[in-house]
Amino acid sequence: MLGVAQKVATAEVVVVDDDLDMLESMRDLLTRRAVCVVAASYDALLDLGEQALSCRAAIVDINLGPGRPSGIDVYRWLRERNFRGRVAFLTGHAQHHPLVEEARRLHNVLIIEKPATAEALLRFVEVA
Amino acid sequence: MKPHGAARVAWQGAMASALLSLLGTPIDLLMGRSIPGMPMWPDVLSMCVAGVLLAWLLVRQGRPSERSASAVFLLNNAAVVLSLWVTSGYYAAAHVPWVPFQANKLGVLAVAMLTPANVPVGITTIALYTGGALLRYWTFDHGIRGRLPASEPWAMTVFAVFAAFLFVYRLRRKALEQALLHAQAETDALELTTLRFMAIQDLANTPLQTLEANAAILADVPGTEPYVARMRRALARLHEWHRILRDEIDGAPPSPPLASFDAKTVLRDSQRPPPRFR
Repeated sequence: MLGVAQKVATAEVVVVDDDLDMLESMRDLLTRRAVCVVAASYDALLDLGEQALSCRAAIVDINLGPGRPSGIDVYRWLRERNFRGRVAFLTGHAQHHPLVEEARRLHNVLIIEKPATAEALLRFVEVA
Repeated sequence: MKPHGAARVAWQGAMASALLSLLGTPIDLLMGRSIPGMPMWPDVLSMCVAGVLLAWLLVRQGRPSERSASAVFLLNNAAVVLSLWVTSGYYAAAHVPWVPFQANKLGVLAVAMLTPANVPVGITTIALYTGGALLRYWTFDHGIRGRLPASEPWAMTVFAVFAAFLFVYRLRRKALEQALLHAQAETDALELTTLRFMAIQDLANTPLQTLEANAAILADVPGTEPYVARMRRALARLHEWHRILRDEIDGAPPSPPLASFDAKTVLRDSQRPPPRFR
């Protein structure tokens, strides 16, 4: 199930998270403001391909499971393919976690701590 | 250091002291054979005391105690001092070259190195060797004292002062090492706690985020208002709990910098010390 990716015609926001309940909840929530595609892993994101790259915003869980490519890898994949949208990292880790510190050094990213309010997530999608 | 560890160190010191007496006294015995009228009993007595004490220490080494080790240490050295008191009189009276109180000087230095971490025992034993030598010096008649090196009894006194200094220095260093060990243990425990907090927080965050999103989705469904309100109140309490946990983690010393972090593994393995990547 981790490879799940859901394609829609003209996506605006891509969400990457390894928790399926979380992923579906985010899709249902964000769909109110934008057309949303989801991927449950780095590989699933690759399957989305151009559909993900054409989005104007990405919400990416910074940790996509132990031993798997992280949200940082997702960010690099997107940027290397000229993804021009804003990227928000969702993280439940402490501020001094290496992944969070690495994410903070990346260009044009927003770090949102889990659990974020629904309003904060919707606002990000609106302004992105 | 744990009490048991301290007792074991004291025990080893007492054993080393008894062993040195047992091995060193025969040398004195051999040297004394060239001295007219030198009795054997002081050295034999000292060896017997050391032998008995060493045997007792060996038999009871499974149940070491600082108090017993200190008593053995004191008793062994008292026997040595008594032996030296008697034999030094013969050496001094004999018309042979003799450097006075060499054994007493060696004794105070050995005490500084081997005494259990017990100030009264250490100082008393150094005082026994020093007092024994100084008193003995003043019991010699003028003729004998005149033949002895002019450096005595001051040389003995200097050795005693140095030995006392070394003894106190050793104790202070040991106390410092123990304090460092204690501080390290506290840091390790704190790091482990922080790591566990991080793991709990990590596991709780995604379900909380899911609940948060679903409460917002449900809010748009007519008739669900009371349920959504309850969910929001519960979520608010969970948010508060989450903030407390985050403050605990951020306020703690830097936690072990982990290359990867699997919360379930951390909690499962948390009985072991935290992994270090330093």
